[in-house]
Amino acid sequence: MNEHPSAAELQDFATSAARACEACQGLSPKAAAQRLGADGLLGLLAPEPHGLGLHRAFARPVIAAAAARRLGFPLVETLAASSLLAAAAPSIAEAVLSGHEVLTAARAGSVSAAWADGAMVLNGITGEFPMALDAHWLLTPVMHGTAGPALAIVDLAAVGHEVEPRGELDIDRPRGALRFTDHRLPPSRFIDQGELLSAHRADDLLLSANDLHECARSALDLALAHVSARSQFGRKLVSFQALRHDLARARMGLENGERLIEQALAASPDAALAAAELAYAHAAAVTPGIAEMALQMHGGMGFTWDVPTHFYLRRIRAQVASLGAAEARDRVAERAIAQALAPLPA
Amino acid sequence: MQAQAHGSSVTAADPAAYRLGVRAWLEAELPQHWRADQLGYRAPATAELYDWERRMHAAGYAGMAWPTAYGGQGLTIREHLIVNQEIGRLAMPLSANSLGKELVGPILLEIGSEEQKLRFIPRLLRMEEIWCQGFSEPEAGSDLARIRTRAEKTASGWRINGQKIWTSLADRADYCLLLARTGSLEDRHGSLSLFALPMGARGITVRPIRQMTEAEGFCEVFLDDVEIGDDALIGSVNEGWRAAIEVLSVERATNRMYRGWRFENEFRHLVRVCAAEPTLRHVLADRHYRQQLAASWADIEIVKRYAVDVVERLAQGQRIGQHGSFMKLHWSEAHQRFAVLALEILALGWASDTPEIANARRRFEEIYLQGRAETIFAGTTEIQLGIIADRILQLPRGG
Repeated sequence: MNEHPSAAELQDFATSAARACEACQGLSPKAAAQRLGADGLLGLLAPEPHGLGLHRAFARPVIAAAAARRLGFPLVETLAASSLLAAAAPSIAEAVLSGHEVLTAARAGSVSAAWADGAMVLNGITGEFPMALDAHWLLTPVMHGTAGPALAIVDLAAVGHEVEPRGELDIDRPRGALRFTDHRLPPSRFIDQGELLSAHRADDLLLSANDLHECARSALDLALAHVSARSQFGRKLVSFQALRHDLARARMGLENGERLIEQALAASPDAALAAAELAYAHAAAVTPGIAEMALQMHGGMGFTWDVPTHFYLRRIRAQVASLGAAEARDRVAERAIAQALAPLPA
Repeated sequence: MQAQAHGSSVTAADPAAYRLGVRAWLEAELPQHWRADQLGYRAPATAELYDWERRMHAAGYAGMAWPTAYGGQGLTIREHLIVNQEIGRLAMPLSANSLGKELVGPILLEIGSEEQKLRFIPRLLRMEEIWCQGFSEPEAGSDLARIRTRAEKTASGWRINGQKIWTSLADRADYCLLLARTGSLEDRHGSLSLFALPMGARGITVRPIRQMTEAEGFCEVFLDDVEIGDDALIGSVNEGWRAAIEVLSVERATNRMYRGWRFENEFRHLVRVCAAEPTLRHVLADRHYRQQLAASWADIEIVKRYAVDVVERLAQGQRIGQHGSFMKLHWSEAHQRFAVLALEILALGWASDTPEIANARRRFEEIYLQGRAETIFAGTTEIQLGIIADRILQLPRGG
């Protein structure tokens, strides 16, 4: 893993990431994948030769640029999976990170896996995942009878799968779920190595927390612009202290979350998962309220398609619907209580 | 606490070894009965506390990033953080000269004369002189631009008239960092100056104010024709406030840097009492309380990370601007939330009021009551929200 980039390096990177995401506007998910892959953005975290092997902090400006433009693409899912794919499924890594095929991921579900006749047989239903009708590959958690939690890489293009559209929250990235009935998964697409799973989980939670933040930030920016421009009762809305304080509180919520994201980015490998769980639990608890407040600031306009605030709120709510603050906090509580009960280091 | 601003600071060669040294010293020297999380706790008397802080300084654990010429340790803000982390880890009594060490010292280092630095800083570190802060007035609490206490130039110095209020430690302080008007009220902040006011000067009357917590030392101060010398002026006339506000914005981010680690100590105390007491053990298995404990844990990690980030920024010579407002706003509200949670949990142990539960109750009731002041002092919550809106979000004020 390379070193944490400087602020100047990140700024440079942000400019090219913004340019690349801008160029994806209006493209189909497959065309966007090719564009992002050609720019090297999908493989920026994966080790060489599959990717650029950059520090995870480089993902931040890319996620920011994509969230602000509401990119209809499973970017976080791809970035989070990239190192796992490179280690466990190199040929899929090559296809996905170059942008020739699109990968999406579910975070939850109730899929069981069991060996039968040289294949892993899957049964059950996945949790919701974005870009459900446009992806070639699905990375989904499964529960193996003896090995415990694992991941399966499922070929969505293969015959016999029917993705069920789910929910209408995220208009930019339509979601769905997949039901398995005795689906035979080639053994090479079953991943149960603990270190890989834990590293993937840490990356996924950290980058998802980042994505939630960027969506909330975009919604907050819209609210700031709106209250600065609109007048009511003969005054600019921004002059009302009640509104100024709500906006300041929202900004503090993001600033607090930034501390946890930075902490997770700086964490050593053995502390990465705990730090990412904490960052995600905070983001999942705080960002929906920020986007809701931003919508409220627009008054009646906030409830219409005349302003795009609701898209960010939908995107955030869809994300936390697949892994909510309460579930994330359960894990945090477990660690916090254990740590409080452990003796202090001498 | 901008170490780099004062030159010639050096970093400890081995931070890990340095930390262990601090830890071992505090563990060995801090009496068990002064630790609020231990049974048999009793608060130290003022004289005991002065002596303790004197010993801490002599051992090398006060004035970490201040130049050795003024009694400091000549280290950097990174060592300041390490010492604070170790102080926070223990349920140690609060400093009896915190305004001196966290407000007066940094302001003198920034704008004081060489004579003032040499005169005052070593003495406050050695606990020979205790300081209070004379900023707020009855008609100027949050709005310091309305300060009316006036300092008039005389042939030999300054004559002070006015009143200060909510002045912690004024009944025992040797000096007061006084903010007084030296020009027209219309100039608001532009006509305020800072003085080192000797509290023994003729014309000063100190009256105690009874605090909600019953803690002593909260006062109002009346100033009637108090004559002080020219050398009491800190910085330039009418420029004191402008310079001090720069220091204050840094101090808001750096004062009581141990706070996050002390918060963690309080969290540990609460969880350990729950684990040890049969009537409270169910709390740790109850999802409702586990969720709230997890939220507090996140709050604590945020407080700690703010401190670490601020230290890194300052150590790299970066500015921290108004970001102290985020820290102040967050920790004060998070600490209040945690105190409420602790009282709620401990109330569940009423059926078995063991010494451990009683001790925890005593501690968290005190934290709860004191916590109500934390969103008021050092700039209220509303002031911090205003700063974030005005200076960070840069929202226009006009209608």
